[in-house]
Formats: sequence, structure tokens, C-alpha cells
Amino acid sequence: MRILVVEDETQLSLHISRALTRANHTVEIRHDGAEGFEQARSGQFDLILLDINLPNMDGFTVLRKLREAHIHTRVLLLTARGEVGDRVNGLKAGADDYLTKPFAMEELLARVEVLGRRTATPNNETLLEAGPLRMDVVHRKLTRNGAQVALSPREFELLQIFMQEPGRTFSREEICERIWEREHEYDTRTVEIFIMRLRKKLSVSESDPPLIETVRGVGYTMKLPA
Amino acid sequence: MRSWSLKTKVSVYCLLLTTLALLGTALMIFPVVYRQQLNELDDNLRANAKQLYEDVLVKYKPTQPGSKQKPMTVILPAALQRRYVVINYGDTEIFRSRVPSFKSVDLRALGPGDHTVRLPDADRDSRFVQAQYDKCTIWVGTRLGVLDDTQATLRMAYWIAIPTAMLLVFFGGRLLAGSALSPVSAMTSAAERIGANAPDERLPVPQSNDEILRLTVVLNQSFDRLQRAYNSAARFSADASHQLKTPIAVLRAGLDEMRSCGYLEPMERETVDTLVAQTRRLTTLVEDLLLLAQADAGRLKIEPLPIDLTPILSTVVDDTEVLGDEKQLVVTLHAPAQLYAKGDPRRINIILQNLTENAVKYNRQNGKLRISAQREGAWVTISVANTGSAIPDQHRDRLFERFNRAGMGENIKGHGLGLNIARELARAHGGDLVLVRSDGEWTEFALKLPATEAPMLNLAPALKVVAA
Repeated sequence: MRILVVEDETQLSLHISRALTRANHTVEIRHDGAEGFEQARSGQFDLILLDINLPNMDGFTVLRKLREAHIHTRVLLLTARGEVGDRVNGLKAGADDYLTKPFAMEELLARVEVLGRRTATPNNETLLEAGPLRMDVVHRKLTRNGAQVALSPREFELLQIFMQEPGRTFSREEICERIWEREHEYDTRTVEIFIMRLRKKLSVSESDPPLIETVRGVGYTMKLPA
Repeated sequence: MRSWSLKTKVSVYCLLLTTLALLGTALMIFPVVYRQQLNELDDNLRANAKQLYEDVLVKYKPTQPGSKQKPMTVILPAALQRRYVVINYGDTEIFRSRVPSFKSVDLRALGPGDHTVRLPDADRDSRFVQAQYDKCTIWVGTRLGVLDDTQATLRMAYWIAIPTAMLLVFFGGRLLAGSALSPVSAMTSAAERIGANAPDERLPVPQSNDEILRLTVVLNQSFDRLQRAYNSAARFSADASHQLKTPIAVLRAGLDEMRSCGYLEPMERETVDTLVAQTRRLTTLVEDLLLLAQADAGRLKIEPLPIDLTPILSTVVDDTEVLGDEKQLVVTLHAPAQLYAKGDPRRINIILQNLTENAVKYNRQNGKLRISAQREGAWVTISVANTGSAIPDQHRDRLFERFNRAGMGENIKGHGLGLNIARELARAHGGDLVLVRSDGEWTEFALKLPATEAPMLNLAPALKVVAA
């Protein structure tokens, strides 16, 4: 994808740009609201990452003027302000998604992927499938080979993370971050306990290989039976 | 008395003063009037005596001693018919009014001057004056009933006048005080409007040039100062949010990049993971401090939506069980199948997480942790209780203070903001958070939130996007 990053913090835009480039995207950077707007108006981008606090023209204004100029490039807002009002304002002004700083780069990449796919398929993945598992996200139900498996709320969320991206390896830290937004007493050990409980509920017999595997020194992954 | 309004106080003071003044006047006036009337009466009686002498007695010829001539009859003038009259000529009584009770009264003993006398068989006093003309000694008297009647009328007038005056003064006082205080009421309602919602509004400046005007001006100046302080505090929390979070974001992005580059040794990787965890910790701390700054500035606002507490509670229990795994805690939940509160689910989660984390931290090995929720009228009460030692009495008052660890031991981690934040959030919801008991058996906190009914439109269970 061709992505425009409008972010005044040079170091941050550099890291973002490197991460996006590694994920095979083409990146252009602007550090100023007005310049960002000029660049975005060309319409040659698939996605714009837009900071809100920008010199010369703030992100909300850039977004509003773009929409007024009928530029409908998808926009992911980045902001340090986590207030609900900002989130609502951003989405009202026409943003497609919203990410608060600081964020995990993995999460940024995941959101970018989702926004990129939105043209083809709708984002509402309400039915997830992985091997013998079928997950109904709306009704919060899980079946294994058609038989219902009762999961606690957190176990369900944990499994959902794996089922959304089967085959990907998640670090304990990332899992922890995605389940508990705020830093708390919950740490990587908490994740280990939840993984253990989840494995127990998902396994049919002792001999069965676990669906969620430990990747030594990295984290966990969900392996799909060949 | 202390809780009375100023208006009532002023009217009651007026009333008391007026009543005292009227009673005082009455006490002074009654004897003076009586004295005055008595003097008039005496003058009147003396005039009667004088008239009697001049009209009748001048012509009186006494019978010579030894003479067979009948004594001359004295005929009273009409004006004196109703008086008691005794006339002596020399030592001889030549006239006495024919009143039965008056028959045997000897007035000579009274001596000259005016006298008040109680006649035998009379229920009221009488007044007599003695006058001496030539050889005639004249006593003229009358009953004092007339004076008593006047006094009674006067008293009656007072009995009517005092309550009437009291009523008039009370209500008049209220009316006056009300109109004098009406600028104050206007100021009060304006001051109530001035708040976080209308910080630009000011008190109405009255037209009159009086104390109220000066008070208004002084208050408006204070409001200006407060607003400036408030604005800079509000700007601070927005700026601080940006200023503090941006470097953390850079730090985090750099650490993520190191992690993803793939050539880290396992030990280096572990260090980076720890650093990432620290940036999360830093973010939470910054958010907590900003939340408190907002609460202090009165800007902590909750958008109250009806929320289903059931999934929130079961998630909290889920987390708590895992947190309590190490201490082998038994976690129980007692809650009705349906329970709705008005609030912000994210914020309620923060409150409950703080409470349950504490309940795990301060629990004993193999202890119990009980979460219960119920509806009580307009409120939902969620209580979180744990077994473990009691919080010492001297620490209970300071439990909800900032950075207070309540002497729970230095080896227990936490920044000492948890309970303070939880209480601020509970209060921002219109509810409260209190310590119910801590007696060595259970330590129990109760969170009170405004209750609500289930939303009419029963939408599909809210879709939780894990990545959000």
C-alpha cells in the first residue's frame, strides 16, 4: 500500500516508516499539517496515518478539509490524547480508525492491514474458523467439531486473538497488552495461566497435540492441523 | 435557628424587637395614664366640692344651739347626685349621701387631701377629696370603676394591637427582607450556573450602588481568577497528556523495532520485553495522574450509558481468579442474572480492577475473595471483600488519600493511587466508594453506582473488538 504518514515527531515517524516498509508498504512522511494536507490532496495514497497535534494545521482540520475536498482516502488517526471526546470527534470528522499513543507497532500494522482489506471484505469478522474450532464473536460461542466449549470471558478474548490471525506468533507482552489495556498487576505470568486454562479446555485427550503452541523465547502461536 | 433563612431570621428578629417595644411601652404607659386620670378625677371632685360650696353652702345657715328650728336641708346640684358626698359644718355633719354602704363611714379620719378608700361591702375602691371652705368641710367621692374600665379598655386595645402588630411586622419584615435580599438570590442562582458548564457567565451586577454591588464586583473578580486557574489547569492536562505520551510513544516504537528486527539474543530480547512492560506502566501512570488532574479541575465527566454489569463482573472474576492463583484464593461471585448501572464501562472496569487487585494483594494464603452485587432501590451496590488482617484504625481515614499506602507493608507493590482514583471515578458517576468493614475476618469495600433498567432495545451483545 502507499501510505502517507503525517507526524511531527521525527523519531516516531521514522520508526513507523521503517516498520511499514518492512511490511512491504511504500511510505511518505510529512511533519507538518499544511504540507500533509497538500500531499494528501494528490489522492495517490491508499491510507493516511494522521497525528492530531500538528504544527500549522491540526489533524482534525486536515481531515475535515480532505473530506470537504472529496478525498476519501482511509485515515487512521494517531493521538496522545486518549479522551473519549477526541475519539468521537475523530470518527465524526471522518476518520476510519483511531489509535492512541503510545501504541504497539504490531497493533499499528494490524490496523493498517485491516484498513487495507476494507475495500475487498467487510471488517466484521463475526465468525472465525480455525481447524476444528468455530467462533461466533457476536454470541460469544465456541464449538469444537460441533460440540460447544464453555469459555470464561478472558479465555474467549485470548482465543479470539489467536483465531483472528492463525499461524502468527504473539509475544506474551503483546497478548497482555491487547487483553488488559491498562498496566496492572496482570503480567506475562497471568497470560501463562490463561493459556494453560485455555489449553485444558480445548484439548480432547492428553495425547492430543495442543492447539496453542509455545514458541520458545518468543511467545505463543496457534498451529493449524495440516 | 441556625438553619433558618436570612429572610426568616430578619423577620423573627423584627418581631421580637417589636413585641418587646410594645410590651415595654404598655408597662410604662398604663401607670402614667392611670395617674393622669386619677389627677383629672381629683380635679373634677374638687371642682364638684367648690361648686357645691358656691352654689349651695354659701347660703347655709346653721341652726343655733338650743333652737327648735329644723336644720336647713342641703340639696345637691344635679351633677353631684351620683357622687358620695359628706358635708360637715363645724363638727356637725349636715349632709351624707344616701348610700347604704356609705352610712357609717367616718371620713374625718382621712385628713385633708385625696384618698383612695375601700368602702364596706364594695368590690372596688373609691376616691375621695376633702375640701375646706369657711366652716364647711366637704368630702366628695366617686367609685373608681370608671378608671378601671378605661384601663381594661386600654389593655384590651393592647391585646388586639400587639398580635396585629406582630403579624404585620413579621410578614412585612419578610417582604422587606425578601426584596432587600432579592439581588442575593439572583446572585446565588447565577453562581450555581457558573461551573464547568458555563465558566464564562458572571454574576448580574445590580443597578443600585450598595453593599450588594460591591460584593458582586468582588465575587466576579474572584470568578475571573478561578477561571484563569481552571483554564490553565485544563490546558495543562491536555498539554501534559501530549508532552508526556509522545516520548513514551517514541520509546515504545523504538523498542518494538528492536524486537522485530529478529537478531536479538534471548537475554536481550527479555530486556526489551521488560522495557516494553515499563513503557506500559509509565503510560498507565501518566493516564492515572491526568485523570486525577481532571478530577481536581472538575473536568472528570462520565457519559452515563446503561451498561450491563453481568459481563463486566464475570470478566473481573475471571481476572481475579488468575491473579489469586498464586495465593490459592477461592473467588466467589453473587449477583442477580440482570443488573444494569448508568456509567462508563471502561471506568467501572478500572474501579473494579483496583478493588480486586487490592483484595488479592492484601489477602492471606488460601484465603477467600467475595464479589457480590445487588440492586437497592435507585442504586447498585457492588461489594468486594477479602479475608486477611484488618486495616489498622489509624489508617482507615487516610485509606482513600493519594499516595497513601495505609501502612500495608513496603513489600506490597503499587503506587498508592488506586483507591483514590477508584473513589474519584465512583463519585464522577454520582456514586461513591466506601470501606464497609475491616475486622480481621473480612475487609470489604462497597461501590455504589446509579442503577438503571435494561435498555428497551435489546441489541445483540456488544461486540468486543479485542484489538481496540
